[in-house]
Amino acid sequence: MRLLRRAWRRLAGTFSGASRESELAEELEAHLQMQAAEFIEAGMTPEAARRAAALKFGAMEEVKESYREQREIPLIGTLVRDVRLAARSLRATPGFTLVAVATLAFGIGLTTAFFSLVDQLLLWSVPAREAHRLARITGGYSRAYPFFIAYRDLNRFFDGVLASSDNLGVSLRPAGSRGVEIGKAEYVSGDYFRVLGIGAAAGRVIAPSDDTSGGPPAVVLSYRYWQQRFGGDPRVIGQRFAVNTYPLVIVGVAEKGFGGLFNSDEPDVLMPLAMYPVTNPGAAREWKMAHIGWLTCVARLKPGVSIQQAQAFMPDLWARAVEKVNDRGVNFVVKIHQITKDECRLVPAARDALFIRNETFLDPLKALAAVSVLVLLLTCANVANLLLVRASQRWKQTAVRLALGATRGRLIRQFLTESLLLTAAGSAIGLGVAYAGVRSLAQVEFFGARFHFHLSLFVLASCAGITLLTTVLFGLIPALRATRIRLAGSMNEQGASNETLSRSLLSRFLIASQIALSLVLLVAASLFGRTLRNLQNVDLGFQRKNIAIFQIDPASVGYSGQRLRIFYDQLLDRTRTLPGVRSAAVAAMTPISNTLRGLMVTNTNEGQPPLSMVYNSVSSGYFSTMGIPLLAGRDFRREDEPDVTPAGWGGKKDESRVCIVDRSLARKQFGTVNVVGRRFCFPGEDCSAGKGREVIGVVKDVHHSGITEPDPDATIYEPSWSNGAEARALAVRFDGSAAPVIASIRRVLQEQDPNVPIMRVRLMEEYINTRLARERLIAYLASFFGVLALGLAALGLSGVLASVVAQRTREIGIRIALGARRGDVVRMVLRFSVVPVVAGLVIGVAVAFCWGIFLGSLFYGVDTFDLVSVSQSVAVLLAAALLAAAIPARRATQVDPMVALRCE
Amino acid sequence: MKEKQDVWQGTLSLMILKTLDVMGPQHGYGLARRIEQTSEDLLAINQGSLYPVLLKLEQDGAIDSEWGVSDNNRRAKFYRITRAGRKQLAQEFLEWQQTAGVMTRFFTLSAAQAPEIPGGDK
Repeated sequence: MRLLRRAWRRLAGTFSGASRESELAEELEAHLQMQAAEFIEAGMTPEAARRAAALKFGAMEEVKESYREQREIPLIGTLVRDVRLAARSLRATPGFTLVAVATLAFGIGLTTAFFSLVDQLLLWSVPAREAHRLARITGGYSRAYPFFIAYRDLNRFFDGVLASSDNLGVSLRPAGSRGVEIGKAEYVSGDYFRVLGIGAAAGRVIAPSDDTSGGPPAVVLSYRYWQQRFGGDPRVIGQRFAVNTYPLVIVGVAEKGFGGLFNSDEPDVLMPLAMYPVTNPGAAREWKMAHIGWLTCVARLKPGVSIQQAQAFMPDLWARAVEKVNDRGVNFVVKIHQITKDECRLVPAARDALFIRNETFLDPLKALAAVSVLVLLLTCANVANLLLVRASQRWKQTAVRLALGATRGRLIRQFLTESLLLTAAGSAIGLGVAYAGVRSLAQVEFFGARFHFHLSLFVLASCAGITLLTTVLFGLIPALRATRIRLAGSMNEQGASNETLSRSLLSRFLIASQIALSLVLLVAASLFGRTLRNLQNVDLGFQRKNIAIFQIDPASVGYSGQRLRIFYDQLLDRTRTLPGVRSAAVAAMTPISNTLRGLMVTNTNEGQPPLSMVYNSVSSGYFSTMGIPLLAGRDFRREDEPDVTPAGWGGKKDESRVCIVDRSLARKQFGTVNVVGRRFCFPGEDCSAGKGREVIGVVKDVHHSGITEPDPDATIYEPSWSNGAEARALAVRFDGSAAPVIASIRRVLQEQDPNVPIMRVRLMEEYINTRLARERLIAYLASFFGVLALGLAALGLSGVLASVVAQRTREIGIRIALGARRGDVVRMVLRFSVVPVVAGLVIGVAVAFCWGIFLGSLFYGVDTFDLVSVSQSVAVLLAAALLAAAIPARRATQVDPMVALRCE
Repeated sequence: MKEKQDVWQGTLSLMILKTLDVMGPQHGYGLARRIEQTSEDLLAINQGSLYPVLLKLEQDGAIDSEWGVSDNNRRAKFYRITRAGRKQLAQEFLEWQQTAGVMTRFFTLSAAQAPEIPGGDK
């Protein structure tokens, strides 16, 4: 009990130093005064009394020391005192401390944020059991429904094949809710969940028996949607749930953490493929067509079978699938062209699925990782240099301490404590920076990716560990050296000169590496910046400014045939009269929309490669609305559109059918651009005289899916209604500001039929900018880190030069006294920095060159080794280096020779 | 060095406790003077060495301290023995008597019959 109490009081005493210390001083002073007063009464003079009292008391400091020892727990007490001392000595040099802690905080924080992101992106894999056994089947036809069925039924070497659609916009209406909500649906094959190995969090998942034409109207909710919309209520199972107004029943919830096959784009609901035609009546005709590729087929390899082994069977599977599908168009294409190379190939799906639509995604990640490593290295180099500078400034202080009897161990302990304190402060603030960094990075829309990033503590610990190693190592150098210096020599002289030399060599090396690193980053920043600028200015084939796109789907709420056409005609008529609207048109799809409807077509010249072309049907006024220039011929007119009767599409007689082709199609199909008046046929169609479609116009190529499409797909445009009803986009070109126009069009739609879902509204220019999110992110980060690196390098250089000036104050003073002019002094200081700066630039240029090759694929419109970028960066760095050197150089010229000589 | 201090601290703390028990609350200087007087200046202590002992006693809970005003109007810290301190005093007084008794007997004995130590090389 007594022991416990004593331990507690000592522990308390350990941490309440300052107040206890003054209390003790007061108590002892009172003691001395009372004793002195007594001696004075006995007849002594005040001075003698005071002296006698002190003598009688004994050694004051010794008493205090043993009092303190009694007060504290010995080890912790020393530690606390060490930390206090270190903190005091760091406070004494606020400039150094601030810069060092800020450097560490940013270095650790940003690297951690970065690596957390990269780590989680790289390690992400398809949410499935044994994802390494999943392989995606590539190709154009392999994305079509009949081929999926063929693969599933014919193969003997997979443990199942699944198919799933991309996430499609749908309207959702839970039981009892008023009005529709817009959501995303993934249509999946019956054994999708079995092949992936994913179970249900509640109820059941989709089974093969659901995916039949007479199957139950089943819908499965994603866990996230279940939580967000229904608060995880299990009673929703069995409830009705309408998708695109078609009544379905919720049968279950997919297991937690499963967000569909495409993590970048989690679905709200999953439905069997068999529900596709009933929930999308507009596409009921096409979804099973052999040339409509809209699915992703993924196969599960049998255990122990590699992708390469399975690949050997694929050509045979493809041949038998073609035979089974037995489609006229496909047979025709295959007979002439033997498409097997790109068709029916297996690629690993575990990582790939995420990047299905953008396989170059990994390269920027690697670049980001490289950048963050560089920044961490730069941080370490800079802190190391700062510590070296500090050590050289404390040269004499250390020597004095040693002379006063400080032991080697005591000195090492103190320097170590300082390093630890610096790193601890840096890491603590770095944690905050990292947290903020992760949060802001997670908000950048990476391809609409909704990754749930979190701070990786392991990464944080690693970064803090590396910097700790640096600070400890470089923090100890002065302590280790100090204990070897000749005491008398260094107190009299400016330290042993060879020590100074080797230390300054290390400093110079660190400066050179910092210059090199920041040059690399600056070059990269410049290249990425120009890439972004080039991408923003790519000619997409249309005018991106002042275009709004409304994605609406009246077919999903029951419009069809003539009613649908009237709906669109009315909508167009009313929209065109709205104030602010310059023109409007409807189209099956709009440029850069990622809703490609690919069509495999061949030109009839045998021996030429098959043409993959894009099919679009548009109303009159589409080209002028989008700003797509007409190169020859004319635009569509209302009369070109086929008749639509309540019974269905009447179609048009071949002689009166017309089409507009783009320049690529004209070139590839006819070998020339002006093909107005020629006739165009799809493969397998009768193309004798007077049949097929007459080409009435040629337009410029547009980019359909990507901004950097090297070779835009050939495109054929037909008038609206030529190919049945489709989910349509209303394109509007407006004047002035977008908001009022969008609001009034919404009002028109609302008045016309409030039930028609508006899937989304996009401003074309804004959307293109979001598509450049990756490039923008990289460019911003690269310039941010480039500037950061530049700042660090300048700071490092300035600090080292400052210490050189401080060390040589005497020498400079003597030189000035002997008649050296300002210019000579400045040159002397600058000379020190010339070699490391030039060496750093040379190394940096070389590294930038290699890095450029590595990152080449990320650049657009600039050379990997771009002379302009390199020379700009070199110029900026040189300017920064000069500026950094100017301050210490100026200080050197202001050395007063008399003061410099006397201060020794 | 350390052991010697321990013994010294032990006796000093006993003297402090006894003085506080008899005289009531005292400040550090008063205690020092009192101990000097009691030992009739035979015990010439460094007054300062009193303070670490006072702290230890306080940590043990044997004494309490409080700031107050001395006879000649000076601010000083006053120490006062606690109940636990009285118990400790009684206990240690007993132990001290035993030790002192043993030591006395030992020295009386050894003076008369000091044993020869064979081959003790100096």
